[in-house]
Amino acid sequence: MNIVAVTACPTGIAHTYMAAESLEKNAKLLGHQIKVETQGAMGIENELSPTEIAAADAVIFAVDIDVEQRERFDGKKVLQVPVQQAIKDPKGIFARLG
Amino acid sequence: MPGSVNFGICVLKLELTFCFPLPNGLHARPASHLQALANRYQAAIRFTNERSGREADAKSVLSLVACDVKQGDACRFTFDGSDAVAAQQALAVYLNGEFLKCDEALPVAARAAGEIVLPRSLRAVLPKTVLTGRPLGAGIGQGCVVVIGGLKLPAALTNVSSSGAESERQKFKVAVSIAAAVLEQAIAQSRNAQEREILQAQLAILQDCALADKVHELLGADVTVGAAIVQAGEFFSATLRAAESAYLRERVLDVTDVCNRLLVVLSGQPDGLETVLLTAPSVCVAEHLTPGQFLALDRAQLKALVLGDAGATSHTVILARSFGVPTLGGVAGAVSALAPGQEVIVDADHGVVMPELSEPLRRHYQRELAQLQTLQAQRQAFGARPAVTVDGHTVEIGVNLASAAAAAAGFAAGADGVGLFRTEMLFMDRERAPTEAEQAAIYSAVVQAAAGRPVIIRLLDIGGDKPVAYLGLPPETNPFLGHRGVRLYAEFAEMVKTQLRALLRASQHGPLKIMVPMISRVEEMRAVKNLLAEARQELAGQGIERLHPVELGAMLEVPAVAFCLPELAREADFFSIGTNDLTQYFFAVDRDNAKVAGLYSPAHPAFLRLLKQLVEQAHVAGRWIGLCGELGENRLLLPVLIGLGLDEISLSPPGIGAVKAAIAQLEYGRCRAFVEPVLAAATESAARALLENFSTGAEAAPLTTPELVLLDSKAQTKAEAIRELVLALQRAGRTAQPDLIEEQIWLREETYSTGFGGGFAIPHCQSEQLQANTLAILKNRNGIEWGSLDGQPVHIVFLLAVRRQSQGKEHLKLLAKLSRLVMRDEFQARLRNAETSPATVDYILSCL
Repeated sequence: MNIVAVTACPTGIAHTYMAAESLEKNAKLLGHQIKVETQGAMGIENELSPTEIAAADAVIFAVDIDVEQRERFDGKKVLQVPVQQAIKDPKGIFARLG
Repeated sequence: MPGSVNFGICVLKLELTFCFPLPNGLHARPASHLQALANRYQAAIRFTNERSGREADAKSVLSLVACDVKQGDACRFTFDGSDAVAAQQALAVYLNGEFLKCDEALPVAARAAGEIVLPRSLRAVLPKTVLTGRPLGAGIGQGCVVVIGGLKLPAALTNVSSSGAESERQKFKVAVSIAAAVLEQAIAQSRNAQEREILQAQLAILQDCALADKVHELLGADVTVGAAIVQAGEFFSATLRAAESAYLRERVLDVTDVCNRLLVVLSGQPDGLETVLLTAPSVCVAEHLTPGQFLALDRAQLKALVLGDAGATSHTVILARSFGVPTLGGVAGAVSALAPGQEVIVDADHGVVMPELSEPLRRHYQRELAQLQTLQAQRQAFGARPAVTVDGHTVEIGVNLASAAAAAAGFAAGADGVGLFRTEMLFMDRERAPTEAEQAAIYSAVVQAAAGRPVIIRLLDIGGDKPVAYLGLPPETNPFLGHRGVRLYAEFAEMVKTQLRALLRASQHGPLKIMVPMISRVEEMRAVKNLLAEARQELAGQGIERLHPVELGAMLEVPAVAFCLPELAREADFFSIGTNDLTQYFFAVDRDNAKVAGLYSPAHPAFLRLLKQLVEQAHVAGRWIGLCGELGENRLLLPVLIGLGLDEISLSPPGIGAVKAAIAQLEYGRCRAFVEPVLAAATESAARALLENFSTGAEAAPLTTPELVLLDSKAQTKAEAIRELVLALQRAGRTAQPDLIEEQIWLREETYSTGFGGGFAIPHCQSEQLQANTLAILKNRNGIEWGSLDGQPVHIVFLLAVRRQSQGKEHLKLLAKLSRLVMRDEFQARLRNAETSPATVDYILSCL
């Protein structure tokens, strides 16, 4: 599966990146393609392009705050979970993508 | 003003019932009014508090007070005797009229400016009841309570045996009449209405039949009147202590005072000064403590001071600070609430006294005390070197002293000289002024302790606020604007010349400079110069010639000097800015008045502009200019003080090492450039914002260092672990405000736990209070409950603290990378196995 994801948390110092790492690590184990955009203290990094979003089979938001530039994802089906879910149970998230 | 009294009159039984109207209950002052009225009648008048069920003789203040009457209590008078009807009617009129005006609501105890927040680690272990007060001298002290100024049999009365009950009774009667005469005289002389009221209440207690009855009852075959008074005093104090109203509990002091007056009369020693012997680590508790009483305490055993009544400018407090004794003031009810011998901890940094010591609380303070010791050792290391900025600008760091005994501590802390030696205390608490020889010995001791370092000694600065009985100064309505400092010298020229001669004698032992307090005009400086010349001549007359030249300088504490400094500079060899009084005079603010204390703001741009003007004008005239006052300890303002170009900063001993360490991190060039924008700010808050964002250049420090790695944490709880980590940040110089960092970490933890599983947690925060972005690491063998995602205890904690004012993204990138790293199994395994701090740091930094 081709997946794109966004992670973000209130302080943007730790959990944003821990969640990104966790999603990337587990996607790889499950044989998925994934690109994770982080919205943290340094702003948007590893930004998802419109092409990448359009080509994605699934979108995951692991966030505790509003996603910036959310309109990029208009029309896509999004699975939104709390950021700590991505750290605690990443496999469960992928399972919900079907 | 309380409302009117509604009472019912029952003619048959001659009763008077009413609801108690006064806000502070029936304490000594209103009770003394009731007693005075009751005493005009023959009839027996009983008083009953229906709520507490307690009864009293209305002709006894003490028994009235002991009824524990609070506002709103249902009360009853009963009358029995020939003039009962008249008494009842008079009391009814009185209760609904004059009585309502005899007491006013007390002002609510003011909180210190800038309310203190206790750190979470302390709040988690705090006992149910604590006493709070104003922090006046920093630090933490643990020891057993020693109450000073309580009721104690004077030495002169301890080995006396009873001369028989009747004779002892007679002695009591005489003592009461003498003590009453003394009180009556004091009342007649008092110009202060409140003081008169209090003295009158004491007079009523003194003449109270309940006190006499109790003493008579105690006067058995072998009991002396002295012992009986002590016992009676303790009996009534115990009754009052049990009262529900806090105000009544504090009246223990009135009873104690009255009994002490009697004991002083009986012992025939008017000063009745007690010496307190400290035999174990002690926390001294007193309502008032005189400088003399403080100096008599064994400071090796004195761990903390808890004072009921003391302002930041009291001399006892100034002394306590100079000896580094943790001190709290304004602790309401300390004397009555703390029992002698009880073990307590005084946290003078956070303003609390803890009377119950649980195991976790002891553990908390063991850790805090160890931290203070480490920080002190660090400061001492800095203290041993001169204060030099990164770019080579040196500033002298002086010490403020109030006694020769404190000089050694000042130089041990690293003082480069004495910036201010206050001489008032030599003149206080005694019968007559010290002699020339006595003074010369003390000044010489300071100069000799300085071993060649410069010493500035300030001439006597006394006035209406520092009463010195033998000078016979009349009380003034406004002593701070009155006859004080240099303004007294014409009237007391001989005493000042004696001091000058003593100083000239001491100057033969090393470099000594003389400073004149309260200078506001050129004429005053000239007059003191003349006195100095006369003193020289007088010494020459005694064959003491060829004295070393001695510099004479002016203390700058009256704002007027800013407008005549060039002229003053022709008369003065040097200047020192006394910031405490200068700030008060400049803003017209009494900082001991809680209502306006918030306007006492030395960080205000207007005040900083004044400082700039003073320093610039002094330097244009080629004069040395220093600063002595609490401002020198203000870390926030330090870059400005350095940037202004002050030649010296003088402060109390505990702050010296810290200031030198802070200066070593500053760049003089940066500080100079920083002065202009801060002084240009329109408001204090704008200036503060700039000060808080001042960048020393220290933010380029590496993310972590071995001292930020705690491999053997003893923490038993999450709160303790976080505290251990923020204290490590403080030890590594990453923050001066560990409490604030701790609070910010906890605010983050409240959203949800940072324990992400696998035995790891990553608490973090952004803060203005950081020198540099920082990672601190803690390993704990036993595991700590963290509320982790997997429910498992945490063994490794990464604490990430990021500067809120961070400009560059480089460090944030590192933190992002670190956050990803902690999710990787290999990184987790390597950290679990890392044995030493440097190895841990090397591994982490190599991964980034």
